[in-house]
Amino acid sequence: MLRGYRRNASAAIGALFLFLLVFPLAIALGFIFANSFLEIAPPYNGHLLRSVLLGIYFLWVMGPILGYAFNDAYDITKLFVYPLSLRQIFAGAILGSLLDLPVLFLLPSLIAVFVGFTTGGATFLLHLIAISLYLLHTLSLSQAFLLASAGILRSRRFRDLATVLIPVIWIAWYFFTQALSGRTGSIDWRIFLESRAWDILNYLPPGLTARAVYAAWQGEWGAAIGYLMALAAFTLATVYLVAWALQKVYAGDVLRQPARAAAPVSAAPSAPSDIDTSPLFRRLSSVVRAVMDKEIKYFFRDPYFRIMLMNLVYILCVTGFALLRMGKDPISPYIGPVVAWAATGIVLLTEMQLVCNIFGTEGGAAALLFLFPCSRREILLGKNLAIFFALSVINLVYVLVTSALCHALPWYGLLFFWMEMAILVCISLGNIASIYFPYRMVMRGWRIRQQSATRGCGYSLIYLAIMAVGFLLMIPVLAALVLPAFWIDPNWLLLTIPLSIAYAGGLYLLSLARAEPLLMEREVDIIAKVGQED
Amino acid sequence: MDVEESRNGSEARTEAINYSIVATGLSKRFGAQTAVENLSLQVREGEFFGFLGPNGAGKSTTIKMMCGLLRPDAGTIRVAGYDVAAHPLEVKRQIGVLPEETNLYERLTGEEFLLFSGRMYGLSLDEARARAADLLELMELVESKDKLIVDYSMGMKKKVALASALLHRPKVMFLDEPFNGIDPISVRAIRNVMRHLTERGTTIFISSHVMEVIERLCSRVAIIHQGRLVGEGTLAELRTMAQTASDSSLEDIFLKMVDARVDADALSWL
Repeated sequence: MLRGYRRNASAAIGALFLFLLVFPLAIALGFIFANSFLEIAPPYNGHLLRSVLLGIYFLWVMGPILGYAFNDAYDITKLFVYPLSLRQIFAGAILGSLLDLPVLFLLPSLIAVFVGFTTGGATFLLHLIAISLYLLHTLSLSQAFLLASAGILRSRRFRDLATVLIPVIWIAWYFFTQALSGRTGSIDWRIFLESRAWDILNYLPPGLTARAVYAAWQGEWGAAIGYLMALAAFTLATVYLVAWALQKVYAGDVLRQPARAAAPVSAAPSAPSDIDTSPLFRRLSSVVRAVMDKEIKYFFRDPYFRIMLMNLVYILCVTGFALLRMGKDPISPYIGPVVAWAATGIVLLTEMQLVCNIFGTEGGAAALLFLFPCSRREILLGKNLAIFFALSVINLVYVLVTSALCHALPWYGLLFFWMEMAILVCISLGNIASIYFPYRMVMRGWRIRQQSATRGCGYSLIYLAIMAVGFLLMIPVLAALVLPAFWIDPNWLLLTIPLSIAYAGGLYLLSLARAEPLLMEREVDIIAKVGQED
Repeated sequence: MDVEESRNGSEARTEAINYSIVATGLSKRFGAQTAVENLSLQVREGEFFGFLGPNGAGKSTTIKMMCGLLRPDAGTIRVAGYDVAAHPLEVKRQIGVLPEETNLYERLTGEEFLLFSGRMYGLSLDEARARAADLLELMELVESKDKLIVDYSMGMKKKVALASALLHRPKVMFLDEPFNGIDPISVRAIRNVMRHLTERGTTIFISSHVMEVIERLCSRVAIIHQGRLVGEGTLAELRTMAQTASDSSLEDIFLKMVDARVDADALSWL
């Protein structure tokens, strides 16, 4: 663990930062739990214990699936050349995870259990065994999910599917939590705590752990030992079963799913693309059309763009949900248009990521791109046009949904126009930013990792500054549209709209003129930065 | 300009035209490490030139500098008569490159990739389509042309990358370890293409560890070791330089010139 930090100063700083921020929170949480366990009267202290252990359990098991960040440590296929059994590798993975920072952050909450329910040496011993079994079971299942996912993710087809599936799960989870929180006030929690469903839920390992601890605290040793034995059996069975499942995954037979490399996927046979046949694009040079065609194919096929699209869908769902709830407020018809305008800023932030690093997704192919003897202006124009049209489609949908939910449909045209000009401004800035500050985007599992993260937090600050400059550059367009619309006189829009187009268009032409020689000068540096993975 | 200068200038231009590649005093450092140091070599038009060296000797670095993918810290390079630093686009119009790492647009099919490359080299769509079809047939990739490159084997990727480098009929080809990690059938296909190219007058600059191929195909060879050129010339000239037997193979010459010691007997436990 420490060797990784010795080689990577920024990772060490990040870990220290995390430790300083999160550890106090973890300790505070531990104190709160310990205090609650001591102060709350039975049986509710027992229910709280069950809830805490269940919450940790689900977080630990589901977390890796939802926030999975693949790294080399999870590629256990590299260990197969050694004379180690899969069970030995798995055991090593579990023991290794004990040293992970998130597990260390868990300790205060687990210590709170001892503080709240230990009455003597005997109870301490039983609680220690129970918590140890609970931890072993939870980490085993968590590691099993991670390693099985890594095994499944060896297949490109599943990696690509996961880029869509995981965000869908997140969206569904978001809706579930929103719906639940909306009804929290109306649920009678006492009835739920005494319900059969809650009782059954607590026969899972966290519940068995809580039952064992609580029974020992109450002096019911027979029940405590019984629950402990059940927990031990459950844990051993889990460890055995997941080891068997992993064996299947890495032997090429995934439970219920094929783990072998999927059959090669064929794209549709090449036909003249719409870009070549459309009269809209025929005036463009062959190189520009070729670049546009390539970019658009990548928008549909590259997992990175799928993830970005799903991020935008997620933002749309969250915004939509928030606007729906706001819609019930009596003040909403008055602030609806303002909210609709503000909502455009949210999606613009995400879209800026796409336009400010246009060479980041080229990866190793950047060397290939810059081997072509075409003018760099044409490469930039092709990339810009492709992203502009793609984002226009997204903006069309986004603005329609948000303006409808804000009861601001009459503003739809102006909102869409604003987003188009804003994107044009972003693309202008993005051309220069992409040349000076490129960074490689890599896929790890089903998450995107920005390679600049390994080069220190300097890049993050630079990109924050770029976004700030972007928003500053958008202000003239925003003012040109908002001031006449809201305050002065909407008739002024007849003048300010053409002025906005002139401003955004002029900015774009200026950036293109500046970016072309810059790109010639710096393409070797771009290849060095985006061409090699860390 | 006086007559002497003019004559020297004409001779220099004439000399430059006869050489496809002229590298003078090339140097490249990565931090404290010197990858290439004061390297000078010349490759004649239509020549099949081999570039040998142990792993980490600086072969790929040299090739990247010649293609304009890496900026040298010192020295000049002229390819097909153009200075790489001053006229990079002109150089790129004349060259085709098969890099060691086949980083391609993997989310395109083989055919889409060739069409894209053809158009980026300035071919019309119809011309690119026709040449792509011919090259796919030559490389025996017709059955896989509609599959994404990400699903191609290493050999198939090399072949499609080579096809992409040939679309625009380059005058100079740079091939960096073209036979690495590929099957004998693919090796044969690539070798046939290279033979065909040299017959048509294309200059080929190849780096490889496959000594038999280099020995059989290359007219001249340069050997680089720890960033420095340790030998350059025909096989006979290299034998003289290395002071090896008159029938010594290129492998023997190479091992002698890089001072390689291979002594498995030292591992008593093996």
